[in-house]
Amino acid sequence: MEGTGEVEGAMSKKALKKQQKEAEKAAKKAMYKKQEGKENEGEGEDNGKDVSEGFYGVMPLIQSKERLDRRVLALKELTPDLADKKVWVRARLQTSRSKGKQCFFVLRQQKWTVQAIVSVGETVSKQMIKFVAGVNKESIIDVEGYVRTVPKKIESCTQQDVELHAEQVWIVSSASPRLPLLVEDASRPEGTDDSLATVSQDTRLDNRVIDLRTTTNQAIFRLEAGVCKLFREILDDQGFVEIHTPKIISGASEGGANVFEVTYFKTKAYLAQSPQLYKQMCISADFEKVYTIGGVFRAEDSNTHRHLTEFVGADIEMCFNYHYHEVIDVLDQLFVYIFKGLRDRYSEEITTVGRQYPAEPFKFLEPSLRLEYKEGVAMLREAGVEMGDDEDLSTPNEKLLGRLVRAKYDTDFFILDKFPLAVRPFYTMPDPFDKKWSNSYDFFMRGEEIMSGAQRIHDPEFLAERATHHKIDLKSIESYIDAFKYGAPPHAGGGIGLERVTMLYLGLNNIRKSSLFPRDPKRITP
Amino acid sequence: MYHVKPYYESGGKVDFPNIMYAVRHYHEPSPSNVQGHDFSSLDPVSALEARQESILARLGQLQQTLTRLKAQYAVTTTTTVTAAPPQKQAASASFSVRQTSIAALKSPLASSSGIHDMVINADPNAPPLSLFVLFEMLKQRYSVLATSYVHSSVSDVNPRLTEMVVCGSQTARGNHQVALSLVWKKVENGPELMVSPAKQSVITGEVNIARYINRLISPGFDTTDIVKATTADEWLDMADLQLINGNSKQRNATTKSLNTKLKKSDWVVGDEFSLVDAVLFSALAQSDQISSAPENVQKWMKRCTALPVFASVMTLL
Repeated sequence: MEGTGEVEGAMSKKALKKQQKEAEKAAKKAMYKKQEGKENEGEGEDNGKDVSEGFYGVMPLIQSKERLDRRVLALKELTPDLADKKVWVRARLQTSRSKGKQCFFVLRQQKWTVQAIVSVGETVSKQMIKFVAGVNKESIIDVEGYVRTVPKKIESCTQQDVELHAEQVWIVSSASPRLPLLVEDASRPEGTDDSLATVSQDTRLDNRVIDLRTTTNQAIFRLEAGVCKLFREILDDQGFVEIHTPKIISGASEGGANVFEVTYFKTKAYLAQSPQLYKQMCISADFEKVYTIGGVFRAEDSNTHRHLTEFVGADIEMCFNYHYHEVIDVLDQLFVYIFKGLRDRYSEEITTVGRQYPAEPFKFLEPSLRLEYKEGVAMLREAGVEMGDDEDLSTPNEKLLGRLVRAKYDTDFFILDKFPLAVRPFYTMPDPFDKKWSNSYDFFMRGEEIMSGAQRIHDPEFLAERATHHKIDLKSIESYIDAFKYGAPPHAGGGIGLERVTMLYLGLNNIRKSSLFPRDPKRITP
Repeated sequence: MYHVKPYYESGGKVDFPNIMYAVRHYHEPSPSNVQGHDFSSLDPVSALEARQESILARLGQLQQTLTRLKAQYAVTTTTTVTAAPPQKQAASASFSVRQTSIAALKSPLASSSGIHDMVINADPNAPPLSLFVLFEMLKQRYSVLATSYVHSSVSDVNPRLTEMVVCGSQTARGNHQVALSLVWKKVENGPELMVSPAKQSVITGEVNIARYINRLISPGFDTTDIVKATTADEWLDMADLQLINGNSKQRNATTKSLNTKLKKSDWVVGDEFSLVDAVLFSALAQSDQISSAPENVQKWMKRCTALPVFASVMTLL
């Protein structure tokens, strides 16, 4: 029960005093409940009678022994409406600063902060001030106090009009005295002031639990949840069915090579690098419109700002009647709905993230801009890039095209349609008029590809022919081709990476910022 | 060195023929040409200094004007450096003046292969009406793929506006000659036109956009008949400076002169409807002059609105 986090300097006098105090406290704690309404007994002095006894200390480990009938308010509820009311709050101690007979401390709960103060008075002793000043940062504490309005706004806190005059302070869960990083430092914009500490990406990721406490990270992952929620909202609305596909598979689903091998009893299996085969099988099984959100694994040894080895894929697949543009229309609406939803419902989160990672607001058009691949190539050529009509877009060219489109159309999101057949996978449906092109499309956000999709070949013979053309061993994709043997409707689809969409929407510079616990070739912990 | 006699006689009076009017020697300092400064009384060095000062002052003024314009239209230096004339047409304009055949003129469409996509940004609170008329005219000449977009920076755009400029299907995008992408968003200095960001800076103002589109509709309009083109330009400038961006005094003066002009003819320039009529109509509408317009202008407006190309505009009025 002796607080593990009770930390003072190396001064032995203090330590001695503390030991004594703790012994007293331990005794008092048992009587904590009875002492609640106890009268004050004279002025508190350092070694004399402590008037605040029973009003501060380390709470016994909460083992659900009793259920207190106590209303604990959220920090966001502390407004001038509650002025001069006595309230309980539970929050983290962000910082504390003791100044003689008083101690200021800042409480934080998720993205809300409030300033609190304890000052020596009738019910507050010097010992209590000392105790509060000594609570380790990031500890969770219970505070009871009066809400008081302040004459001058407190700029550094979210609750700017009130402060809390504490009467009781109890440690619920103490943080270790040495923190690997400070939430304050982790919240600072990068490269603004050299004199103030910032935290490196690796330190953040090694200590993700503390790093995620920053308001910025709280906002990023709320927004990411928003992307998912909006994705489901509109697709459910349009009659899509959510499916869950297996992640352990027997072979590379699309003939790709970037798969992780896992031991599967006496044989080998692979981690799914895309739910595509299963989405398409569901189409063959008459689900008509399906989507799935789940983990996707890519064994690509690329250490870039936008590649992860495991990420959350949000994939859709739907059948259409006559033209794959029916599907593009749905995808177009899907993205516009997500972007509008984020703009309108998550503006606070976007502003919060922008304070630490400034970025221009994400621009888009409704309906989304659609260009054909050859137009994109023409724009690039006009800007001085030399490339063939049916050459694939290199990453720098992708970026440049994004900038050109932004300069011309003032949008960060666009669809590039009709890619050259040669640069797409074998299952892509060729263009009906010109074999050079294909019925495939990429979606771009801020000049980076976020979704790649196409009309898939739904005729098994044609599929086999295209696979042979690509020199793919038909044996290895037998199950894929078999899925279309018993009649399949024409269909198209595509998939997005949730982390990538969040990153690009917010204009973050690294995908690790929008992945809770990122997995890349160099990191699999925490 | 050895001495040589000058090969001409100096100091002699030269008799100039008097069949032409006399012009002052440009190299002689004259009191009239430098803004009231008299440098002749000064010694050469201070005269030179004074002249330099006055030149610098004038350059300073020019720079100020330029900076003001740059600030207003948010022009970045990099684009002005690389900016070339939007079309090759400008270079060929000098010889094509003499040509009468429209077909010989190079349309901007011919130079670029594939779809010619024009992006126009317009403010939903001040829709450029002339654009809708020109769009109808454009449709008569080319296969146009027109799309209306709403930019993410604005919400609640009147749905009627987004239906104004719609034509063709994205499915057959590549089969169109011209694409018109109308983006509804906040624009500070009137509508903006962007065709090729690599080659141009933004073209601002409804009148200038109308000129550009009209060149697509009839490539020879400002080169075949110089007099007519100049008259048209004068009216277009009046629409821009005196009506759209003018004060009430200038607006009244313009409607008055328009009224006089329309007393004698049905249309503002020439004897048929042209873009000048469309632009002036739009300018009058945007400067709130429609109801208070004088008699001849009212009649002319009726003639305009009776035209089929005005049908879509009428739904907005």
